[in-house]
Amino acid sequence: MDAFIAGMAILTDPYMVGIILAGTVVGVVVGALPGLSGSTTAALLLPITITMTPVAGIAFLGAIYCAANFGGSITAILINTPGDPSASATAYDGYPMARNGEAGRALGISTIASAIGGIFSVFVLIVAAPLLAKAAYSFGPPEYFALAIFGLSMLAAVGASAGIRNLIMGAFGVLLATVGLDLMTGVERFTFGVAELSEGLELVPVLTGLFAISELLVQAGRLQIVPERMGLTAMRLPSMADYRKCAKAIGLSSVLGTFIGILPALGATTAALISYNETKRWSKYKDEFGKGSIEGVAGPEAANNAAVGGSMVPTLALGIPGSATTAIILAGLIVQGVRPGPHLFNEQPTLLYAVFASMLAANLIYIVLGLFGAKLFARITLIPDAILWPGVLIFAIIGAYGPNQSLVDVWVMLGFGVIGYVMRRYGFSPAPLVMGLVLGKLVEETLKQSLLIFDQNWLLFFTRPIVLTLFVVTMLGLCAPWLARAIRGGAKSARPPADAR
Amino acid sequence: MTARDRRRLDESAGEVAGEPHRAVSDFAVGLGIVAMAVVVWVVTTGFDEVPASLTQGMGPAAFPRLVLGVIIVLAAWLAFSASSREPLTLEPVHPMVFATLAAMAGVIGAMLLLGIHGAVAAACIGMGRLWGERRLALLVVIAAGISLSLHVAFVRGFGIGLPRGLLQGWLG
Amino acid sequence: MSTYPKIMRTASRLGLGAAVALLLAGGAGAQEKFPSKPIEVVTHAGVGGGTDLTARMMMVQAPAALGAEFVVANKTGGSGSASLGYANSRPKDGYTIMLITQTHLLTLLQGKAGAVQPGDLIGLARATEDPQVLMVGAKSPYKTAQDFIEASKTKPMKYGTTQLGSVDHLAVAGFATKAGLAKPVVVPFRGGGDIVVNLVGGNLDAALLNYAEAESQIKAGEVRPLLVFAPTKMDSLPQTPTATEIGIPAVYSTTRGFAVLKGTPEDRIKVLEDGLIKAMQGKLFQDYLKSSGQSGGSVVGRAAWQAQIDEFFSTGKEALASLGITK
Repeated sequence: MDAFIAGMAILTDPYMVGIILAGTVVGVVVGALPGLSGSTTAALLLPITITMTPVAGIAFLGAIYCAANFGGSITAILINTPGDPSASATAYDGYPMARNGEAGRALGISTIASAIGGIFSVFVLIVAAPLLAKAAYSFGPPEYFALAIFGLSMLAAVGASAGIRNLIMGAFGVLLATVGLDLMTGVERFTFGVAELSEGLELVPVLTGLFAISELLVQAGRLQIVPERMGLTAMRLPSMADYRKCAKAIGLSSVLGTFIGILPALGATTAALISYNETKRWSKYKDEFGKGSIEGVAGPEAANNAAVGGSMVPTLALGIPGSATTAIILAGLIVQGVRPGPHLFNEQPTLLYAVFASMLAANLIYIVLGLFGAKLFARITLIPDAILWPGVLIFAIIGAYGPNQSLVDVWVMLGFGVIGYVMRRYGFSPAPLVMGLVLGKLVEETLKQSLLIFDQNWLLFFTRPIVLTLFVVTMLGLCAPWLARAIRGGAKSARPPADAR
Repeated sequence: MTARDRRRLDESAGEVAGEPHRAVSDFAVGLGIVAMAVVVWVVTTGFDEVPASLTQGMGPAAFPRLVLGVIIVLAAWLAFSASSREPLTLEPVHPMVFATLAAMAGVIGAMLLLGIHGAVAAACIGMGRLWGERRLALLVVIAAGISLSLHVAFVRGFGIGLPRGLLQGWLG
Repeated sequence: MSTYPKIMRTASRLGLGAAVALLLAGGAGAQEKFPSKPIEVVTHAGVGGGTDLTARMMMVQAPAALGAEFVVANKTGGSGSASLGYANSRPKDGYTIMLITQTHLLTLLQGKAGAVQPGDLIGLARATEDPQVLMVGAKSPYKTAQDFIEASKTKPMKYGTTQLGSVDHLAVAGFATKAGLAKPVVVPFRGGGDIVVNLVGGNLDAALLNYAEAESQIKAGEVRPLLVFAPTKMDSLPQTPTATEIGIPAVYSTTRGFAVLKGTPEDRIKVLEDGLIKAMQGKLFQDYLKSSGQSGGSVVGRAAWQAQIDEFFSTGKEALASLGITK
């Protein structure tokens, strides 16, 4: 307890508060800019943190990590361009809200949901990190395979169009994930001799293409339609009723996001996608999803920020980073002479609590930034199309080019813009494709790893309790609509409030 | 929201008043996907051989083919259940969509030749004009502002290189 | 510089035209004093990858040692071939240096690096030298290296490695041959962290890892190091025997070092070598080495590093051939 108080005491030190404030502001800005992610920034600033004291250095990186995940949602909502891959699920409903003139509401709920998810996960980290970290050891390739299948099974529900179309798109996404060197054999697949493709398709160019560029083309076809301007409502923040409506989504997604974050092989992007599906599944207003559902923004945002605290669990307690950013934070810790591992919680508790304090502070600081900023940022939706979209194109190009300094990625982005446009024209939603692309590698690699571990006997999958449980949950999830109908069938009651408005 | 609502929403993309709409049934869409999947399957036959000493378990082509098989089955299902759904109505693609696509290729071309600042100018001024913004001075100011802030944020602030273009190379 | 037109052609063919001008600004003074403009460090790792971090750690004290700024160019793709191709597209004037790993060398051996040939590499200085350690999970029945080797002679063990054809895969295969073991089953993973988790979780029999990758598990008694593939015992693992000590002449390590391509002027190579060594002997880089369980002796100059590169080329060639990877 003394250590807890000592750790929290850093928040009374003006220098530390300044460091955390700087980290938070930098994090929000780079998170919002496509082309600069939290992990890139942390890597670039790592040498600077080495010159600080260990506590200040780690607090700075932690603040960037927390804030960048929130920042990604700003551009996802305003211009359909996720500033960070983890914000892609936020665009599904955030951008339609902005188009409907509700940018302020979307940004506001994203801020609050992000902060609640983030703070929840930090508390989990404080209370149970060493205990929960051990769960990572129970997850081998067979367990990840079952989890990925669970994620993909939800495709029938994501997006707006019919189930078969979603499943086709999900499978297409999985196929795209096979581009590049095969991990198992080192054979190049679908690279057509382009060296840059051998590491697989980068997520950022594909996402920017599918979301931003395809939307740009859609807007091009609508230029002659005079848009309704809803300037007055754009700056309005969420109401109490909105917060009440989202409470369930935020609670569910905070727990889910933290858990997925704890598993080293899964990150904030997966957490957000799975939470989006679960939010939709448990929502009373399923019909609003894809058209600007406020719950559809709250769920993934709570989840991707909860995954931040979650992924710090294995990083600090096991020395195993769960994401690109935690890998850099880990490097920062090690260089400062802090050795992560279970013993860290006994040997250097003050430092640990200082890290937790900085993460809590970062989450609180961006609430203020986010709510004040929401009104300001929301004005972006009022910029005329002929000025806004060329700017979006520039940011999309830089976002694609930035991480690998590769022109191939720029062409990939343009190609996926066209693919996304054609898909939407023929009634296919890009959301399931993203899910397939994110989980595809995991499905293939864990399947092959499992089979090697099982000496090619796939029946051994069913000897693992976690795998069995996940398979059962998947089956229940798939059958739930029919089950619910069967149970309700006798009563023949009309569907509850969905259309009551 | 029903599938059809969504489609209507998306298709208004290419709406041009007065021109005829084209109906496309899911049968055609499904068969089109099957055809594409078959082409990709042919590509998988061209993967490199794995040396015998390294062969263990599934080969590199097995998983993509499994996924292609799933796509073909699903697309066939889409095609043969088409009669239970109304066909999609596709409005013709607005010429502006093609013009914008060409403009985007032009912007990337400008980037290859003139670097990121060339691309900014091409996008803001060229595409801005194409999309009907008449105030040239405003567009120039915006382009200059974006160029400058990009330089400050990326090159000065973070030391990340932005595309520089061929011309800058010759001049440098 | 008369080489411009040729560079331009090569560069645009490679689609790298946009980046060509990166270092040409202010080029006029380049003849007089070296270095007089920023030096670019090309790595095959993305921002934040292990090799990228090594480059950035070196760069903290390098400007003072060399009197020039440093920038990193991350050219990912093709197991190093993209970065080699990029370096080859730049003038050979010493302003482009590469941070290479064994991955680059294997790519070169397989002829996958386009115009660059194995003989084109000139080592400047080695940065890190991290021995591989044979490890098993705590629940494993094998308490010593001898136990493990004895059991492996009849039972094919499951090893976690990174990609097939990678350095640690070659090390597993080489160890199995030299110790006369049954052909190991290799389970490829994305990175060391995944392998450690599966070692503790009991999904794998063994793995060859760097000490730092499993440090906290070794300290917690969840992973047992059995054998070190280094010429001498490691400071961080004084109890663990080396392979040589138990009669298996096997040495494997993860190595990173700086290099330039053939054609770079000899006097500039000397300047770079001295500057890099000075920078890496600074406190910050030495702390970085120590904190990841490596000795300060990892940093060596051109002669020793070049010898190691050549040695790796000859052994690597055999190893690849025996696995049937090179045709």
